Amino acid sequence: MAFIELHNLTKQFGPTTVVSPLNLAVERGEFLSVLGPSGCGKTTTLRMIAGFEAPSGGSIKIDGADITRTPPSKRKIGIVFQSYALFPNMSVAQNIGYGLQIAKLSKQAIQQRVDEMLAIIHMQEFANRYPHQLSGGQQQRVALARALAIRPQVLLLDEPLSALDAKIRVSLRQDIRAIQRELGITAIYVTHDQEEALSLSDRVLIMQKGEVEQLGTPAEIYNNPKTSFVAQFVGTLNTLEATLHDAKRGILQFGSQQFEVSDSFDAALQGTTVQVALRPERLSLNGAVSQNQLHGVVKEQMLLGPIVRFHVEVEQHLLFVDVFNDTNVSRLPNRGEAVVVNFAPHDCLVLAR
Amino acid sequence: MKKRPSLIAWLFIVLGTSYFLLPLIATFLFSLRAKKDTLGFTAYQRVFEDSSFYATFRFSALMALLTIIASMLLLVPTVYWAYLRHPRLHRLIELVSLMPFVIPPIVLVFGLIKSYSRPPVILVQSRGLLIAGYMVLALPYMYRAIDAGLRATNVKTLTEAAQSLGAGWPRIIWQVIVPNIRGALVNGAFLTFATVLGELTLAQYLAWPAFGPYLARISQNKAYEPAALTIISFALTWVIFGIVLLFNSKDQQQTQFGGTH
Amino acid sequence: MAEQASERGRGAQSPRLDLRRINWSWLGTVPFFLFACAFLLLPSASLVIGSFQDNQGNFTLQNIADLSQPSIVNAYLLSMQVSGVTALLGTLVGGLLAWAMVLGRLPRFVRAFLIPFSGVASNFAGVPLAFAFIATLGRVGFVTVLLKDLGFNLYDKGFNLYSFWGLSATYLYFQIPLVVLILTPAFEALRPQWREAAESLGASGSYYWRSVALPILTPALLSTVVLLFGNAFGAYATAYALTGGSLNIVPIMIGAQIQGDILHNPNLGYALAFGMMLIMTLVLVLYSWLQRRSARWLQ
Repeated sequence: MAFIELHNLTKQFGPTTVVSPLNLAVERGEFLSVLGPSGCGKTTTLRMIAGFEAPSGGSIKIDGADITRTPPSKRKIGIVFQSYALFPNMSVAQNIGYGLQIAKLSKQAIQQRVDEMLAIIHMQEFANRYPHQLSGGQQQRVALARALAIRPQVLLLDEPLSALDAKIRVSLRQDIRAIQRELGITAIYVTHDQEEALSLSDRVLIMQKGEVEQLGTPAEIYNNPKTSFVAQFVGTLNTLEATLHDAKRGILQFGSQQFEVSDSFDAALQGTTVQVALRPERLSLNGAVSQNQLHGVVKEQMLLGPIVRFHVEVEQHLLFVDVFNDTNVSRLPNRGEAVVVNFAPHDCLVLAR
Repeated sequence: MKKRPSLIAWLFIVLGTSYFLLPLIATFLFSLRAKKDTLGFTAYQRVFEDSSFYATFRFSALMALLTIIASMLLLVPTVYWAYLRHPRLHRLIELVSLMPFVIPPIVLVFGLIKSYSRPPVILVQSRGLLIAGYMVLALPYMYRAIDAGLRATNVKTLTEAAQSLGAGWPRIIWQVIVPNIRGALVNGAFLTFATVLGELTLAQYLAWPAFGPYLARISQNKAYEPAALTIISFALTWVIFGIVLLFNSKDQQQTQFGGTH
Repeated sequence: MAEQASERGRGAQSPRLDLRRINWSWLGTVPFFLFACAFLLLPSASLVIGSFQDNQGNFTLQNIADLSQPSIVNAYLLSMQVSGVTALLGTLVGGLLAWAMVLGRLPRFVRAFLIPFSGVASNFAGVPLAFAFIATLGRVGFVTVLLKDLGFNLYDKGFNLYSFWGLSATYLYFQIPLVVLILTPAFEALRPQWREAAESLGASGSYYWRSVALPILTPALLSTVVLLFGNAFGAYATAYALTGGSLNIVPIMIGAQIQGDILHNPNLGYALAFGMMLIMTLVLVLYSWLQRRSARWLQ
């Protein structure tokens, strides 16, 4: 039995359904990200688990106990907010010790646990500072320590990094993951940033309009997106529509050119249109002859640091092609140059929707 | 988890509102009883037939208008200059504009009479002194309004842009700065108007036939007319604040309230 | 672009105009400071100086010492009592109203009505306000008569509109709405996440209020009390119109002194005003100190 179980969890605000029946099982110690655009229901789901929103239907179980109707103060769930939400009238140490004080721990025990938590977030020397004297990143680390100090069963994080600078975002997300591993706590992390979700999580849940699009490991999500929404939301993607030329052998007609995919189709689908997705990094320019080839013209090239992204026009359709920024290996084509785009049949993702 | 309106909140609001509405209702009902055994607007009729009602009202409205104009002429360039050239003076101006809070109207008028009723400068019989006193009363919120307006406007950039296009100082103030803080000015102007219109202390001790002393005299000598006048002043205050709110909702600026009592 | 424009702006004012610019900028602020000197500084300074002079103009501390006359001490005490009671009650009631409005989950129209109404009511003072209360709680006032018909005689029970509690009730009419206006932003600045964070850490509603919300609101509440104290302490018109000068608070006493030298010593009158300015200065200093404290938390 899983540690957290959501069973047919739903939420309606008036006539609008924010979360459609949601079933989810999270294992003990797992780090699960909930990823989706704003308004997809991810934050509402988190708030239902925390107890700040009452579900319209369904149930929430943690460690076998039904907590659907338990008030938030009795759930033993730690939560970290986007806005830090530190108590401005209390010092760092008082903030971290707040939950322990409520739990009526002895002064000594509180002191000990607070020191422990300060060590985990590397902020021992800030114990007596007030939140307004700290940077955003420091405040969020204190908020994390405050949530973890009560040894919660579950840690919920609601876009904890969205208000921070890019550099701090990266370092803090590594800290969060390291602390979560160290304490072995079960964590649910809500974000709209796919990079965060993919880099941090054991599994990623992708939501859109209150529905689950896909649940899987980061690799599954990135390499085998189940729906066109997932494919486009995660990473950069070329999508093109082609007609089935030979359904059985998986040969598709794209304008005046043809290419092959590794799937085979039902003969009845012959002549219909299918959507094919291609990751830019799986395409190459002017490579080996044996692969799929599409002829096109370079319209634009953009330097993205380690890679160069080419915009290649093929059959009046722009394809992004990522090439390593390494001129020792190959000469990079110029704008306006005619090129051949190469890719393997098994790199083509045929999308369900 | 709870999303229902709180019953206690409702209770507070209802109790609070009734405390505020009761005196108004009582006064209104009272004002209708000028004629024995019938309800009617006789009291209002009498007020509107009284020539000193108009005379004192006109006088106070004129004083209010002059106060507003003089305050703006004095404050807009000053605060603008401070923003542009003298950030340190800005603190001092702010401090001075808080001083009227320390000097209540009754103390102010006392000091004015002491200072200006004997040589070398005798001003107590001049309307100028009354207006100067009103300008002092209006200073805190006039200043705050103008300050808020200028803070919301990028004074420096606007000025530099105007200068680069060849505008001189008067033109910059009147055509660039003033239109940009129009909402704030209207706000301050109406607050000043509301304050000066019914002001009693200064007008009484400087002995001017203003609306405030008129109200005081009527309320001591008559029974029903003061009730009518109370309702009229309350309605007038509403009209003035209605205009302020209207302007502010257009200009998207925060309304400030507060005056002297 | 903006930088370019500013460069050009400075360029147009070539260096040879530098001197003139400095002169002009001083001219811009001189009228204001002249005005402040003439009508703020001079009148108040002349009162202060006058309170340290005897009738011949020699320096003396006698006037300050004479402030300890029972009638003057009583006036100050009464003024402070009225100010203190209306400040505390006003903050309490106004605070509850602001709380109900902001956090009571009430429909929007409550706020849409209460805020402009508070703006009007906080400016509704002086003669009209006094008369409204006479019509309500005076001897033949609406509520007095209503209660009498119900068998409860307010005036027999010791209430008198023209006394301490009557004046306080009247002052509250402009004090409470002022509190609503001041405290509404403070209640709005209480972030819902603070409450949620507290709840998730095991706090009950009342524990959250005691440990988080009230401490955060305290500077704002205190500065409101202080502001209201000053607001009532300086009020003259309402008290004059209500009691006709029978209730001996400091502003009324100063008014009587201006009119007829009731203290039989003009310099003692100045000392009376000086004392009032002193108290108001304390109020202002305390207020701005508290303001800075609350601003630090509620950014």
